[in-house]
Amino acid sequence: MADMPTDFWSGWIVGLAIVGFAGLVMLIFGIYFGKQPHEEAAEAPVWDSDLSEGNNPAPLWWFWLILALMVFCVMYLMLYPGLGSYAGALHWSQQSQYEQHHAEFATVHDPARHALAETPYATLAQDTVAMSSAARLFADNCAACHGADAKGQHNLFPNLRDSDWLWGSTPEQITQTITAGRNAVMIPWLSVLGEEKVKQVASYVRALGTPQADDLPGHAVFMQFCIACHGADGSGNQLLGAPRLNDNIWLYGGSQADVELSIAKGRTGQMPSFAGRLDATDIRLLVAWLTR
Amino acid sequence: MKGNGMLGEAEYYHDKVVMRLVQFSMLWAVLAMAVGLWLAAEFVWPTLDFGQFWLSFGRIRPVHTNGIIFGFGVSALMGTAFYSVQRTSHVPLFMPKLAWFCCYAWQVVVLLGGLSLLAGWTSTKEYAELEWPFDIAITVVWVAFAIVFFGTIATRRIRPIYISNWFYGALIIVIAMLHIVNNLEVPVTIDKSYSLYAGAQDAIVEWWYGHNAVGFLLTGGFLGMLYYFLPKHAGQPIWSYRLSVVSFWAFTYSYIWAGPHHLHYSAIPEWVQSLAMVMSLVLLAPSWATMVNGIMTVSKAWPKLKSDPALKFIVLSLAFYGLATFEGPMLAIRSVNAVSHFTDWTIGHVHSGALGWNAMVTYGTFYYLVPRLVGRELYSTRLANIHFVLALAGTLLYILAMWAAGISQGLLWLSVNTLGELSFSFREVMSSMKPYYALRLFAGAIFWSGTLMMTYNLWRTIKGANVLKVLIPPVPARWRINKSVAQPVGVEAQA
Repeated sequence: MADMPTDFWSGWIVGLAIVGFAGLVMLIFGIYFGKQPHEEAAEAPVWDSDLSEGNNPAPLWWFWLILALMVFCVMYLMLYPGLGSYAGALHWSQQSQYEQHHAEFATVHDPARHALAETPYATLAQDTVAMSSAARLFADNCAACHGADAKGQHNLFPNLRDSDWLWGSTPEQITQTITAGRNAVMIPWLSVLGEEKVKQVASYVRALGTPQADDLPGHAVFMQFCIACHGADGSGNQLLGAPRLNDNIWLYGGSQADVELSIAKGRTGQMPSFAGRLDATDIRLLVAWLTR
Repeated sequence: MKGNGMLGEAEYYHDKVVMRLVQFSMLWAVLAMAVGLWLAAEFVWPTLDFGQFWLSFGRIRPVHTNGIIFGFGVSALMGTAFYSVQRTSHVPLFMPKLAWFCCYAWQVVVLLGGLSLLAGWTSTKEYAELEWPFDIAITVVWVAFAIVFFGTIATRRIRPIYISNWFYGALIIVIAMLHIVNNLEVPVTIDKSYSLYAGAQDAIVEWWYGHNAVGFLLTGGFLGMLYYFLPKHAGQPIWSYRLSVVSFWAFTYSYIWAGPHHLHYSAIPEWVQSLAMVMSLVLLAPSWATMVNGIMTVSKAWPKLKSDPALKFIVLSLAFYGLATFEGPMLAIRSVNAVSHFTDWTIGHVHSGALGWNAMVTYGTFYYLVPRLVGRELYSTRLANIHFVLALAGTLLYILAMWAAGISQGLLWLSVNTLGELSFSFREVMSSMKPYYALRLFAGAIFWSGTLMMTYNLWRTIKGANVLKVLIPPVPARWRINKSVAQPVGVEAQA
């Protein structure tokens, strides 16, 4: 056993446990069958004028109680690891129990879970057991950031109930997002553009989609610095997680001040990878629930 | 002279320090239970911290536990130990000024310690949250406590040492050992230190401390209280000397192993878990031996039980002691623990011990002790009887609420649907707990109102009165240590 560096320490533990148990047994036999200290005395001692101890025998049921407990304990220590490095007759370990539970889980649930992998998303979305499982998965794993209602949190985490998906809305893209996570970076532009131009671009971006937009001074700046990620018409780029700017959905706020702040100081968005926490079936359930 | 051979000067017990400790104990009971109520309310209305750090759950929870264990519990234990050790040794306290130091220094530690917890100082070890300056202060006071207690035993005039002193002695020695070993740490700043242990070792040391603080303070210490005050009040001898002996040694031996049952299915070695589980089971026997011993001791004084609230409290505390010491070993079993661990069942178990056993045995003892310290009748027996009903109802409702909550949590968390997915999210289970938490708050409020009532009752009892000076009675010749030593005059008198 890895936690027992030498036989000496194992022997120490076994010795302590056995000596202790033997001591308990001797004590119990002494209590039931031994001579009592004040049996030879004419009278029991009296403390504090009227405090004394009776000499009633311990009840027999108590003898059987402690005997039964000790027999159980000795048997337990024979069957399970306890006495130093002795592994116990059952060769039980936390790890073996864990593996056994996994095997049982696989036997009972794997057929149903494998069937899910073959079921189309549209069908899954109609399956009440699958959808309630997905809702539970969302509540335990996603709701802390995206909210219990999946509508996100202002200025931090995207709303998942609208049509605007930063990294794409196809099942494959969402699967990728959940599995591997995403990192979005909007770099800070203040030092490059200066305050004046940041304001101009912000005004332009907020006007995007209206006919007057192209007449604004920010248009030229946008065309020079922003189109690489956000596209010429501001419709964004899902490969980079660059948001669409020509709609009215603003992750970090749509007011002039909010947009200026996003441009001046930049933004970073991080979706962690859930590959270690959720398996493919869990993720498939979540994708079906999100795209239902 | 009454044929008593040699007669010394009149000597009196030191009881003023006892009275002061009883007063502090009641003060902490009222305050720390109020903090507990606030915590219970935060479970129902989570915004009750009003965004204040010092009112947040994480800060006031240790204030509640430390206030109860060290404020209420230790003050009561010190006071009753000082009271009973003099009487069972037939001498005044050894170094009475040191006893006064214990009394006041301890209150300063509890008060400043509580404030430091509110300020966010914490070593993060459960029930040992106080930071290193307090750890040192506790050690100093504890050593002073030991000197007074064992000094009194060493200078005793009666040869046999009464059973209550064995338990108080075990309390002092074992808590000193646990406190020092668990708090070995490297100070960094005044409010921060790092433990000498790390990882699994740290966890084992912490729960060796944590569970034996329950064992030797909340159980052993209060058993000392029980073994003195129960027979004294019932006017009967302890039923069986043999059961006392077996319960003391089997209890002391088994308890010290049991701590790691708090760490089932964790990164600590399996043999540590198994031995802890096995020893926890064995503990059932000495615990029930004590319970039987106590109940049989009262059995010849049943009529007194009808009319005397103090005795009712002590007998009821024995029933809860029996319940909690049955539940504890069950929860220590691996497979039961797999369901119960991290649930409110643990909180219920702790409170069946803390409310049902510790608080009730202390209440019974104080109802007995305080009137005797001032030589008056209790101000109102009727109030004490109402308190008894409130304490019983509060404890029962509290335990029921937490059993229901805990077992539901354990089972709902483990529930799996046909797809092998968990049936319920953590949030769903959490929000379904609201009625249980509300019931717990209600139960706590009932229990606390009883404590307030008792404080008023005791305050009215002692108001304007002085602590009696009690003469030390002589020891029967047969049990006297060193017969040449002068014996005090054997009359109780009011001075």
